[in-house]
Amino acid sequence: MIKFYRLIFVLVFPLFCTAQTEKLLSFHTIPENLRENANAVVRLDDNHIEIKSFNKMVYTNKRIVTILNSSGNSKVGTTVGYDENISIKKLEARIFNASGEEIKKIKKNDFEDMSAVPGGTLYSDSRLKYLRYTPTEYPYTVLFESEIEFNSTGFVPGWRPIEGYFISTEQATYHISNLSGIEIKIKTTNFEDFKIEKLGELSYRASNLEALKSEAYSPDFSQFAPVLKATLTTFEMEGVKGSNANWRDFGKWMNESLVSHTQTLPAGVKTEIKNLTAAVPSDVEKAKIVYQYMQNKTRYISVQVGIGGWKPMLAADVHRLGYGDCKGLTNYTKALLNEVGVESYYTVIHGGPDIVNIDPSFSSIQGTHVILAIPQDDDFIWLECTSQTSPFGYNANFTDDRDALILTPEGGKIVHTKIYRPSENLLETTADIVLTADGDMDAKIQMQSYGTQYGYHEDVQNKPAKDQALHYKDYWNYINNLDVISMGHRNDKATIAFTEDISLRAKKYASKTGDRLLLSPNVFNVLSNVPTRYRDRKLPFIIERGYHDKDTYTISIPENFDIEALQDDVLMTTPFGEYKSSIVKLSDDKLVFNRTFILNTGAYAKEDYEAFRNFWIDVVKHDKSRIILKSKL
Amino acid sequence: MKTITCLLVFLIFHWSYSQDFRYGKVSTEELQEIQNPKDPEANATILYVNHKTYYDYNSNDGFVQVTDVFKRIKIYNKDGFDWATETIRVRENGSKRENVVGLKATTYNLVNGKIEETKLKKDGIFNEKVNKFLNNQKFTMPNIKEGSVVEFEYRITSPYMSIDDVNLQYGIPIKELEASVRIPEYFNFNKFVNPRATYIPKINDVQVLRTENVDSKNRTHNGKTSTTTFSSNTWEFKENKTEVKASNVPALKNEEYVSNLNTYRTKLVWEYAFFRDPNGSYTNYATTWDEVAKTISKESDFGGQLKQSHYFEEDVTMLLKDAKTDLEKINLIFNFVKSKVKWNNYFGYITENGVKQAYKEGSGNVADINLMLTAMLRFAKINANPMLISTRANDIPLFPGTGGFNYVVAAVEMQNDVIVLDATDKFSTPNVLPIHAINWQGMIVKESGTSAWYDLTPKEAVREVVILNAKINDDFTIDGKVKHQMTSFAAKDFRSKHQNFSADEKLLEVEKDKGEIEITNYDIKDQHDVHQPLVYVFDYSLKSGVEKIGDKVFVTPMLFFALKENPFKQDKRNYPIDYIYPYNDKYQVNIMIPEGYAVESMPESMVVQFNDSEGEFKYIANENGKMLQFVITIDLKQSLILPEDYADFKQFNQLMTDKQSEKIVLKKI
Repeated sequence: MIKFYRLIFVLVFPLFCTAQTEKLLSFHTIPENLRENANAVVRLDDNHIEIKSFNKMVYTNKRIVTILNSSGNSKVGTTVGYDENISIKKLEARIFNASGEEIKKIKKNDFEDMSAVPGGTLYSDSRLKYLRYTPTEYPYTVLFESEIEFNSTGFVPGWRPIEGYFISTEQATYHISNLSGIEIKIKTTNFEDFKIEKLGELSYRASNLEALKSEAYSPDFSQFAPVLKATLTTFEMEGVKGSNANWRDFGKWMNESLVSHTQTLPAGVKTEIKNLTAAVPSDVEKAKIVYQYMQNKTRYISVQVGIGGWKPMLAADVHRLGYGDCKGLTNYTKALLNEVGVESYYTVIHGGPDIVNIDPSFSSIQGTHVILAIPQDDDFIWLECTSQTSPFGYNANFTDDRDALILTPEGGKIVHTKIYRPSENLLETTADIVLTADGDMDAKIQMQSYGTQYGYHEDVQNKPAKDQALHYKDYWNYINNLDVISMGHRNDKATIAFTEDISLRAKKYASKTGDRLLLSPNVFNVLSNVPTRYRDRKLPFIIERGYHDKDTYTISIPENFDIEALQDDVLMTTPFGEYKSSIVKLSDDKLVFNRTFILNTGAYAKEDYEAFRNFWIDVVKHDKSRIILKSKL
Repeated sequence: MKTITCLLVFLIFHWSYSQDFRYGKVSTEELQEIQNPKDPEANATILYVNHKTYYDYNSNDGFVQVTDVFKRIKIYNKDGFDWATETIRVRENGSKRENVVGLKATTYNLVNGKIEETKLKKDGIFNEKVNKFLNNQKFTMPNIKEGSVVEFEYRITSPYMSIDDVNLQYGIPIKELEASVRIPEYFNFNKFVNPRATYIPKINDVQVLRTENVDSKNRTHNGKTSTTTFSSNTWEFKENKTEVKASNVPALKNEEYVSNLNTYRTKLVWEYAFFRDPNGSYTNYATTWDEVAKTISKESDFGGQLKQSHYFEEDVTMLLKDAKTDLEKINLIFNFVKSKVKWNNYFGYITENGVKQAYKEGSGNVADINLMLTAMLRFAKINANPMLISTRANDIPLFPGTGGFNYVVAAVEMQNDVIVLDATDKFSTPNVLPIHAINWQGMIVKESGTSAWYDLTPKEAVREVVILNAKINDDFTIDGKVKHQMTSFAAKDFRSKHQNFSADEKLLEVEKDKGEIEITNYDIKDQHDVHQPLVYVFDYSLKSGVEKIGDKVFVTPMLFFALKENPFKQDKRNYPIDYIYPYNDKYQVNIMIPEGYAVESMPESMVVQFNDSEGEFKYIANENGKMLQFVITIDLKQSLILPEDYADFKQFNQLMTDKQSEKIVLKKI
């Protein structure tokens, strides 16, 4: 039976292909709707994966792409990565002009070869082969064929029928031939929205997918674009056999095969860390000492070799060398915590400012980063082990608010990391401002930042003094003629609060017209960057991390000046946030300005974007509004 | 007697503070140091660096270039940890491969008052094959902590003749530096110190004698027997030695508006000039610029390429059949090459594929394209020559030799004028080169084998003219029209940025940073005809242009074109600011005020100058009933602002910014 099917496949497929191919090599056959907003059009993208056994698969790709202009060159998709376990069997590209005549053919040996060491990584054994071709005209079409053999089946190539922004797809197919007898799991997302057909159990076809434009505040591409993920329930990664029926099994395999046996520590450090933590009774206090010890002992160095960069360095090596990558440093911290009897879990996560989840409903190799979880009551304390300076338990802006995989002795488990709510992400600015009759201003400012805002502010302390002054001149770039007189910082890691004390002077802050002084009482926290206007927005939008700003400024007005005009109190409440401001006369020569701005975290439909933008515009307007002082003389 | 004690005390004092820079002799004082006293903000300091380049001799290979590097680095804090990683670039070309040998490295820490040593092992060394020609040997030191001292030494042996630049300055300060380059008299190098460096140490040049024992083997035949005699001869020759010893070399620190910090690094640069063998015969590599021009003209992948013409003759003859003037011919050929051959993003003054191949395939490197362009111009009887250039990232050519160059364009000389053409960039026009090619001077290589220098700094000001019409409505919105015309570099940038934009994207781009604006009828004229100035026009409706306080109305005449902040915020500079070209911007603003309002006050006319008349800002305001007129010009004649003029220039910009933010005040009547 199986034989029969394969025969049909062999006979029919090539015929179908040649007829189809010829038509697709010409630019002129691209349907009009696929040219819109596109720098490149995928004419055909056939992805075929043959699973030969639990430890061998072959990926074959035939791809025709028409590049419409020079911005489309990066979409050509003719770069292939390889390493010891991935070998390139076939690689060939042919270039066609606009009318589909062949102008060049590039064989495997004419592809350029280079090491693939990403920025921030000291060494990696991954390499790349890529097509070096200078287009002589636009549009042009590339027919690319590759065959790649994997001796590691941990990652089954997935599928994104829409490859990114500004690229459309005429036809793309994805097909798995499973000869291994092992169950394959597939998960598709957003396929219905794009009318992607299911041709068979492991076979899909997408056609006529128009190009998407990128828009500000849009969610991660995979949230709304079609994505297919595939994985083998039994697989092998560089000689280590794994099983993957669910997250529990997968986590168990990962822990036992890749992680747990790397946690042995030398006797010396065992005693040392026990002695250091002996005096404190609670687990949290012990963990704090261990974390501090690790931060002082190590630094982040990324070296990616073997097992696809998934196996941590031995804890003993991290201890000896004093460095490691996220896996090595996390694992080392865990080993130290084991020693002092504090439970912790190695955690696989997507790291980055954009929030991306480990898919709770689909177990497979996912994630880009590793952190450590310490169970605490019903929650967790999250430790970022690659930072030498981060406060204990601080994970804002990089690993917060997302699903992650923790490796427990019972197996893997998906949990959600700490959410930093707007009220926690507080920036409190207070200032004493003294104004002169010429409009000059002297001010003493204090800013206290917490939560996500702590992360945005604390960085300044590591800069040289000259750059710190420049930093504040940029921070208040709308104040001209600004001189920083003094700066001081206090980093309270225990409560995770950063305090900045700045005193500064700005000549002609208030503009003088005749006998009047005009100034904006919101001196130190002016919202700008109005979200881009789209005449016809296509994508929904999200605010990943809301925040809360509170400002209180006391303004001493110069002698012999009266207040001529003050603005009215403002209160705006919208689904996106809240804005409140008021200015009151404290005495004849003193005003107090209060402002509160709260931006909510949330996901919204594209129809709400205009309202969101209008809210922002109103805030900007109120933030800039000015008062008038009039000379009595 | 007294003087002697003083002297002794001084000597002892000096001795106790002098350091031992032998490998392994790291002192407790070095480990205890918490900051560099001369530069307290430094995250790390090179306590000692010794760089030696010399030539070993052995009878099999002859002279082999050897470089010994020794560094001792102090790390003060976590931001200095990067200095515990070193990358050695190792060149390779087929069997000609450089080798790194004798790598030895140790980390020193002070633990409970005792010095603890940790040696670098194999697991900290990585060899990355970057591509066919380059390997990176990297290592990172073990057991790094705040306060650590690291020390490493290694040797590079090289089969290549050329000597790499010797860096005398790093991103962190150096306390003690020693560098020497010793070259046998047979190899003659020109040596230069980067003239843009702000720190220049004392450099000593001496001649030293060197003696080598050369073993030779002689075999003599005498009838049936042959005897072999070994003899050892002494061979004496001179060496040219360059030495630098310096203390407290300042760190090379980055600044805003510096595109390539490396341009300012203190370093020794070497050019191989000629070889003189022991018998006295010379082989010249480069001596004078004319010599360079002659040599290069003979090279097959430079001069040889200029001589080929049959591959294009037919096409170019056709192309020029109706052309009358030289200028017409130049433009036709320039456009023809641009459309015919596309740049593959590779630099070089010698061809990669050869002009013929490039012509056939439609792509090539800089030399393929611009030597072809030169050859076609010559074929059309235009006085055209190649001009060698060193790109911005490549420093400046310091001495006669081709090594300093990495780029070539075509230079046409006519009527005491030079027209420079670069066909690698589709938006380039005559004398408007890609920015990377505008660096100092280019060298014209003439057919006669002579050379001439040409200053690449653009002389003609880039002109932009903006006409801004605004009508303030009764509801304080503003309606109006804009016409913006630009030439040369400004037009080129605009075209290049907008080339792949859809209509939507163009609209997003023009509405950006203009406040609450809605733009309609946006039309870009001559976007594709690079020989015309670029003009765009649009109508706008602005909601946020007017500020109303009490019963007064405030408006900035330049609206969304007003400069919002002074771009220069630092107090002083070490390096110049390079605007690349002089410019002249003019804004002509006409504002109509609403019914029921009159002008209470207007910004006053003014003129500000920078450095006599190198820069001038002129602001002219005119009230004419309901129509207010402003003419604002910014004229910068000098494109390079030197550090000593920075304070004035910053002030000049401040005055411009302040003036542009001044408002018209309207009152109700």
